[in-house]
Amino acid sequence: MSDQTANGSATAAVEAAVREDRVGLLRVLGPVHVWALGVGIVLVGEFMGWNFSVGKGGAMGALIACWVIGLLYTCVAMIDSEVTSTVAAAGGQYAQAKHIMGPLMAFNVGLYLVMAYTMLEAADALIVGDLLVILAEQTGYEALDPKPFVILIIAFLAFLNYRGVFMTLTLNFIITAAAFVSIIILFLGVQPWQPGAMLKHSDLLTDLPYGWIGVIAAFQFGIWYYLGIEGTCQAAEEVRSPSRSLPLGTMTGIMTLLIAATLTWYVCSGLLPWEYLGQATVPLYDAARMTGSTTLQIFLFVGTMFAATASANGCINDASRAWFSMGRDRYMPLWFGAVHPRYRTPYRSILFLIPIAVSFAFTGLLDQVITFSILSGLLGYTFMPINMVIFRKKWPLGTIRRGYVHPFHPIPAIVLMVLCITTFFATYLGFGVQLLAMMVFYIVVSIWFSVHRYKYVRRSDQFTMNWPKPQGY
Amino acid sequence: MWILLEYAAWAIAALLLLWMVMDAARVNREFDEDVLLSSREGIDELLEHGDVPEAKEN
Repeated sequence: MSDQTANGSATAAVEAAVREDRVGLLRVLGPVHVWALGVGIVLVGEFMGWNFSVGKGGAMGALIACWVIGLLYTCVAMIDSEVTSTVAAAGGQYAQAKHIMGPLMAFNVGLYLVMAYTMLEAADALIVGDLLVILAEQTGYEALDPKPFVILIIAFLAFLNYRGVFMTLTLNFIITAAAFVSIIILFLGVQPWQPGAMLKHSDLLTDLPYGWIGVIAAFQFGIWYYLGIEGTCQAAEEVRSPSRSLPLGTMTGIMTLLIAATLTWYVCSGLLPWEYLGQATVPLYDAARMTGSTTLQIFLFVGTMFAATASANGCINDASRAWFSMGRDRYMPLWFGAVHPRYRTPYRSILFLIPIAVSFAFTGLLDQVITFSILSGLLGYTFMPINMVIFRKKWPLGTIRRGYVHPFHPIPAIVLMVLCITTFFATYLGFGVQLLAMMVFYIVVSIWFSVHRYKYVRRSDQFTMNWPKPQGY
Repeated sequence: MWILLEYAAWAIAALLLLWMVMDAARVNREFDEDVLLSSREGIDELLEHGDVPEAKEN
């Protein structure tokens, strides 16, 4: 009772102090949290989704897609690390675009982020619901309604995000690490040191079933291995040392994902024929079932559940920061730019996005929701190389301090642009209508922003970086 | 058991959502809007602390 009184007094004191002061997001995160945010959002893609690339290009085609798209995301991570170590603001790529390219690009990038993360969050919640349905069926109950569990997972994670970023991303670190460990355990469990004992690569690997066009088509699903690693930038305003933590968390994140993606492909392609793997719902779990080990099955079931939960958790964090930043700059109503005085979180943005995520989830169209999420992400990646080239041109090395300088500029930017264009072509092969619909949507909202919304923006207030004038201006 | 879990999930989700809405309403009521909207975009630590060495290109 006395503890409660003490806590209540402390809270009251904090809130009283805040009444007279400014409130901002809390700088409490370290590199571990940045890693947990980036890898947490992505790792679910190792447990499902990537395998559709096998259906397009065969097992070898999927491996090529895994590494080529891995190169795409390595470029994303390098570019992001440099720019965000300098533009240390919530909103990530939105804030980068605002300072480097201008308001219209920033508005579009902000929307890409919100749409990509909110849709991915909905898809993750659907996955948790589907997993529980599978679990119920295995225990003899055939009629489980996943809806209450979908809402519960969204509500619970939103609640965590509402109450504070430190606990949210500490939890993400624990469950993401556990999910990653489950992949390592499966890899060790199939005895990779004894080829042929459990892994049958020599029997199962075939030539490219649909030739090189199949490999190109596989690129769109290779994105699943890494989609969301760029989300590390959203923590920029909440890390203790952005110039150190963001590059460290992002680069170790992409290394983790490259390892996890390769291990995942290696295990699954050695246990499952490509015809089955190409349309499996939960390929890693299926691979665990193929081993006949109940322990591995349990590990992988829990790993899949954790990965989906971590992804939804990170998505809520990132979507709310992007929306909050746009509100703070009046790109969206200023009301969304509020920070909770006690928990120091963008509480209105978190609350506002809950019904949107739930409505996406209740469509039940997992594949469509994820496709739109991927397309929004891809549009965001296409902006990055242009952003990077302009950034180095306007503020060359030595004119502003950078926490990290990526090597070999402009090669990563050029490689990223080429790979984005190739992946757009691959996506057009499979989801042409959705791609065009997405383009039309962003063109329409861009017109709305330019004609209507931008007049509410305080133009001088939005540019906060204490940088020298760019070269040529 | 699963039916009970379904009901429990609905109930817990409703409670969590209700708590957040009520807390947000309380904060909106108790705090001045200027304070709630007083957050400013991340300051550039690198420029604030001149002792941070600039990274070298690899």
